[in-house]
Parts: sequence; structure tokens; C-alpha cells
Amino acid sequence: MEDKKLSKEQIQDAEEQIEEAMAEVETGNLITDNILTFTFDEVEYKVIRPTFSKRVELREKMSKKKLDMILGDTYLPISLLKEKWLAKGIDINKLEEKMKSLNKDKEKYQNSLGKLLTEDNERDNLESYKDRIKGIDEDINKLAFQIMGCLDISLESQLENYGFSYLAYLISEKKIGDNWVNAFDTYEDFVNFDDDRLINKLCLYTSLVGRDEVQV
Amino acid sequence: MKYKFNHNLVDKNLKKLAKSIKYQTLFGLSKNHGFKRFKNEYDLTNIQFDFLNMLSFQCDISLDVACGEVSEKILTDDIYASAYSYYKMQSYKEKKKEVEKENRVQKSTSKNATTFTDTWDFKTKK
Repeated sequence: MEDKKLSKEQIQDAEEQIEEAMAEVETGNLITDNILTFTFDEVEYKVIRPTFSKRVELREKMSKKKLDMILGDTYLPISLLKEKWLAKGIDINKLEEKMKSLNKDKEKYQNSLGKLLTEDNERDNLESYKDRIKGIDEDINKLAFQIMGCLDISLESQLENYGFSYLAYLISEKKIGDNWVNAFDTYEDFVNFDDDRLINKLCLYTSLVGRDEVQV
Repeated sequence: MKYKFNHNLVDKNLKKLAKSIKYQTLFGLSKNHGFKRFKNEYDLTNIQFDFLNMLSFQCDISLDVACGEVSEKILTDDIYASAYSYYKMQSYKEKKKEVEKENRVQKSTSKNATTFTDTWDFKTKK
């Protein structure tokens, strides 16, 4: 067989394809059970659905944190933060209204496009409707990012972040010998762990397993 | 090789899997014959719920295409699929409203009819 050298682009393409295939297999594994496992630095980790007692602990921690935040003067609730932004010239309520109206426009086009798809003479306008919806989606995403950027420092948003990272700490376990133990001894150990790759993976898996547990 | 795995990628792959013949078949079997979908039977994770939603959505639109109710183009593009789904939901809501309206009209007519029968004056036999 002739020994051909692959170009850089071909190697990159092949690597991307392998990566995609690996991700697809991994996604398949993520749905088979409610316990997600993976290996990191030769240690086996798992993320599990929280037990009742862990849910109670999470609620208690979040309530305490909320009280601390309300009593402290670092974080503002969304309503007050909106006023501060308004004073700086950014009207978030207006942005939200704009988003609502864009959503209505999108639904209008979706309805027309959906109807068209059920008719025999549908072909002509399909692409134009699709482009309009795509355009609206882009505008909605831009607005959502803008609003999120303004409000992610709010008390509610920070409380949600705290709740989520606390949940990740609570439901992460690692295998030592034949036993499963908490992946981190304390929440502080989890937060201060120096390898972001492990923390990111545990957080991603936590969101796949139980993001509904954190409600502010 | 740098291995990236994020939320968007999970969603993208989940959609791909939901469209696959393997998972559509499994979904059909689980619906009609109680075939086990996951290792766990209860306490589903968020990703399992999302996946079931996607499977159910895909199953519905595939059935509609097979019945000729909609163009098979919706299987090729997510924008078409969600537009059709929205239109279908709206049509269902409108039909439901119409049926409720008809029922109300029927009820009120039957009420009138009852009132009418109530006032019947039966003649006593002489």
C-alpha cells in the first residue's frame, strides 16, 4: 500500500471527526443511567442524584446564604439593580419588552411557516421564513446576553451560582479502594481545588443530573 | 488532542441520538411494550428528561410525515420542525376553543329546551 502523508488540514479534520464521535458516544453513556461516572487522573468519579438529606442540606445552605446576602451590602436584588442600570442609561425593562416583542414576531413567523409546511404549494417562501426566524433568534440571543451580562451580578444570580456549586460539591463522589466517598472533604476544598478541568466536568455533570434542584 | 465537552455539544449530540433509528425504535418499544428505557426506572436525571422530550417530539413529527400531514422537509431542519410543532399546537388550541364554544352553545340550547319542556302543560284525561 502506498504510504501517503496526510496534510495538516486532513489531520485536523480527522481529529475533529474522532472528537465528535467520542462526544457522541459519551452523550449516549450519559443517558443510560442516573449515575454519571468518569475517570480523571486515574481516579474514578461519579455524580449522582441528590438524596433527600442532601436536598435538605442544599436548601438550608441556600437559605442561610440568601439571608447573608440580604443583610450584607455587596449584592442587590434584580429590581434594585435594574434601577442602578437605568441611572447608567441602560433600561433593562425596555430590553425585556423588546425581547418579548421579538418572541411574538418569531411565533407569528413560526405559525406561518408551520402552516406552509402542511400545504402542497409550500416550496416558495420556506427559505425566506426560515431566514427571518434565524435573524430573530440571533437578535433574541444578543439581547439575552446583554440582559444576562447586566444581571449576573444580582443577588438572585449569585445565589443560584452558589447553590449550583454547592450541589456539585454535595453529589460528587470518588472511588477509593472499593468504597465511594465524597470527592471533597469540604465545600471550601471544592471551590479552591486548583485543577479547573475536574471542577468543570463535575459542574457539567451536575447540571445534567440535577440542575432542577437549584431554584431561587 | 484537546477534548472539549460542553453543554451545546451535549444538546447537539442528544438531538442526533434522538433522531437515530436505534433510539426511535427503543422509544417505540418502550411506549408500546413497556421496554425499559434506562437502567434506572425512576428518579430521572435532567438529561434523561430532555432526551425523552426529544424522542417524543421526533416520534410525533415522524408520524405526521408518515401520515402525509406535513412535508418531510421538517426532518431535515430544526427550524422547520419547531415551526411545524408550534403551528400544530396553535391549531390544537384553536380547535379546542371551538369545541368548548360549541359545547357551551349546545348546553345553553339544551337548557332552553329543558325550560321549554318544564313548562309543558300536560292535559289530564277526561
